[in-house]
Amino acid sequence: MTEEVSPYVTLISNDGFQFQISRDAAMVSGTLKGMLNTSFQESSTNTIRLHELDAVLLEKVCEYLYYNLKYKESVDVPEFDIPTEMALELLVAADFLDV
Amino acid sequence: MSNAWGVRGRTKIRPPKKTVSSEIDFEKTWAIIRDAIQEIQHKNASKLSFEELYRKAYNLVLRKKGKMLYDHVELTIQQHLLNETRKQLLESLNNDDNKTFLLKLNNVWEDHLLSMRMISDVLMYLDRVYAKEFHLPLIYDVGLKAFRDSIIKYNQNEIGMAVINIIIEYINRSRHGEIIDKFIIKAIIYMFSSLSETISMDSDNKVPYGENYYLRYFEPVLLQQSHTYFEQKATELLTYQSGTIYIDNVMQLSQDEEARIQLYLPDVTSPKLIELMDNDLITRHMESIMKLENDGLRHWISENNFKMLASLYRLIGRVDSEFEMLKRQLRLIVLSNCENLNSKTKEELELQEKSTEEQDPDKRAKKKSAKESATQFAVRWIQNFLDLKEKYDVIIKNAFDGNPGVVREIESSVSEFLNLDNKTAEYLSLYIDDGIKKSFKDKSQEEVENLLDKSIIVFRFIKEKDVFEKYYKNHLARRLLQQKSSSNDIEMNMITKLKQEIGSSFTSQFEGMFKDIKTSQDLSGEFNRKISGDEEIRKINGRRLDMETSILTTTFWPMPINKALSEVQYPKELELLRNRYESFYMTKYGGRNLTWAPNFGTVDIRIHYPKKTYEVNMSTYSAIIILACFREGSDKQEYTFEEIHEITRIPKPDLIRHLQSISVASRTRLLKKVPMSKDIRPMDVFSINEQFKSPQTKIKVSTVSSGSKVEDDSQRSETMDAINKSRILETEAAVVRIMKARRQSTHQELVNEVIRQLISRFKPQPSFIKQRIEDLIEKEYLARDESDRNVYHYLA
Repeated sequence: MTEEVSPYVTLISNDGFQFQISRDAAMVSGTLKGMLNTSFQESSTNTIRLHELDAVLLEKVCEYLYYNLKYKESVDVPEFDIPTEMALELLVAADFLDV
Repeated sequence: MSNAWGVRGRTKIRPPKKTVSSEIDFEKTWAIIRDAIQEIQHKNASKLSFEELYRKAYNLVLRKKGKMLYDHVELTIQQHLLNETRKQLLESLNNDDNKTFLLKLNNVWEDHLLSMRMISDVLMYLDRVYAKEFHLPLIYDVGLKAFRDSIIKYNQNEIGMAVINIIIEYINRSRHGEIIDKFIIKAIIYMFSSLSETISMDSDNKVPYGENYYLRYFEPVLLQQSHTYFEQKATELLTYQSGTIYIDNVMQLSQDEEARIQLYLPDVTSPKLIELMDNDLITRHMESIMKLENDGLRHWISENNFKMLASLYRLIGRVDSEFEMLKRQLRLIVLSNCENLNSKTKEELELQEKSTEEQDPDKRAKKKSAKESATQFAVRWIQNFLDLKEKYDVIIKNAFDGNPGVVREIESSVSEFLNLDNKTAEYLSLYIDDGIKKSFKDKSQEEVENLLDKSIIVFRFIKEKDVFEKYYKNHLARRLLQQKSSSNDIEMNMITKLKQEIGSSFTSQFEGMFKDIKTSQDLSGEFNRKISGDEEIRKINGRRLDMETSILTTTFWPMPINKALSEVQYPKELELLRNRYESFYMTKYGGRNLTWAPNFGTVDIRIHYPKKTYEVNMSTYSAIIILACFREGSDKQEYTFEEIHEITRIPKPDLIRHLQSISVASRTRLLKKVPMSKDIRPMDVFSINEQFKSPQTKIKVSTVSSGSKVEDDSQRSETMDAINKSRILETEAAVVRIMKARRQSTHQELVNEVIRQLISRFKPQPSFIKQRIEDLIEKEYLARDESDRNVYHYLA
């Protein structure tokens, strides 16, 4: 929470990949929002390590966060493509991230 | 825990990897979370990783350790508050001044909220999954509850009551004019309001929903204390026995209190406290304040103190939108004001008389007769009444917002008073009579219009309109016959106003009277032209005779046809004129019946006295006396009363009056009476008064008692008898009218309809109507139904 808040945040997967996404997109997730809005470590470093997610999953999660942000207020929403094999894992991730 | 999510591959659906080490060590994980909670509570959160804590709690919940975690968290928070925070607060309470203590409490509270916000964020997953599933309060609320139970309410409300007392004391100090830090009071009250008393849904339901610490503990004390304060204040203000002081202070006080409420207290309390204040200061005492003799409602009304009255009105309006207590007191005052009209009017007249006496001592001799002053009294009385009414109108307009309820109350009080007896109707008619005869003359058209409108106001209040009609008819008849009316326009204007007020049936007779007079004038002109060359008349008198007649339709006019009058013997001149007129009239209107009423007319005659010749205007009766008995050159010069009666056949009471006016009244003593006493006795002897002298050549003999005056009691009871008779007729007529149309009717329907038809004239009592119905049954206009005695039939 020093000087200006950066418009981007960094998400790090458990296998060490970094994802830079916009703060607005991150805010879609209740959990990420909580992390960024309270005065814990994450909010001062603008970096969140997600020990529960690997890079493949996290990439899909990020994709979804942007998708959600983009269509939040629209009615006609194009389908979000979920590879079948990832469905359950994504479900768990969604529960964890509160999206 | 790395790589816990299984291997990537071409499997169809990768199952989420089940936890490898399905057992995790609760104690170890908890220790991390507990330490983190404590760090948060000591404001050291920035070193902690949210993700880690979240993940730990997440895993505990996933492994069904939610309950354990939840309970441990609660306990940790409680212990922190109890062992650290509470101790600090107690120390501050005992050592610091109140303000420091409150600030400290507020700081502690704010810190607690902040740490609870963080703790609950970290434990979001616990809230989301465990607490919701088991319908438990969220962690944040658990924190609030812990604050309530471990700090505020701990040890029988130890800290809570201390805080309440401090704040109440602050508010009391503010009531005594001290300026108090509003921030800290608002903050603490906000805290109290946040501490819900219905935190757990499953607890007993004795506490109403939405109840919080503020409502449950603080507000009752506040209200109790305020009640004591208001009562004290009221008692203190009452000792002055001054309405002005009381009302001014209460106005000020309630303004201040409202400002205070705005400043310090939450909206929920505002209506309760204001109601309490209004009740303590206004509802309970305002009526006795109004009653204060020297500085209360009565005084303000008599002084036209609009400011006080408006303040009073505003205060009462706070507690009662109907203003019942104001109406009650107003009614009493209006009634007593009205009762005072009698004595007030009397005093004014006495004063007036005194001052005219002082200005002109000669006039003392001309003391007014009792009746004349009674008439003046009536006129003045109505005047005073109208002034009073206007005064109240102005007060209502200026101080009472023109409130329609108050207007109605005053009107009903006034109406109650005016209808106590029938004098009002007579007074009002006299007032109009006096106005049309005299006082309107030197007024502008608008003023007259205004006065007439005011008369209508009084008229509106009179319930028994037929009584007024009776008097008005009498007075109008006198005005018309004696040509006393100053303006026909005003007369017609008044009648039009009456007509607009209650309809033409009420005024048709008045209008008929006017028409009679007009037709009579035309007829007289025609008659006089016709007889101007009449030889016989010239022979009898050597001069022209003129005659003005008034042909009055019997039903319009209030004068009864008096059989005794037809016996009156007219001297030959008058007899001749009479015959001439009768035949003149009959050729014009054959079949009509003329009855002569000499008791209303006047005659001009020229009388030769030794010193001078006078032209005297006198009543027809007086003229008959003089022409019949005391004619020039007749043999007999002296007549006794009995003899005069024998010759003229004028009814005795009239004869006495007219003899008095030409033989006793000092200025018009045309006849000499022996003995010279005021009363007329049968054996008194009358002769021409040879010494008669008067400065003027033209003299007018005014008959004793004429003109419109207040009736004395016996006349009034006569009038009332007459009215009663006409009421009998009107009621019977109404009954017959209704039955003729309906053929049959039940008793109740009939009575109701009769009342409805007559109400604009008077209000008949049901018993009175019943009596009339029975009379009509006796006269066989109606018959009772044989099977149902409650039903009447009309017999054609």
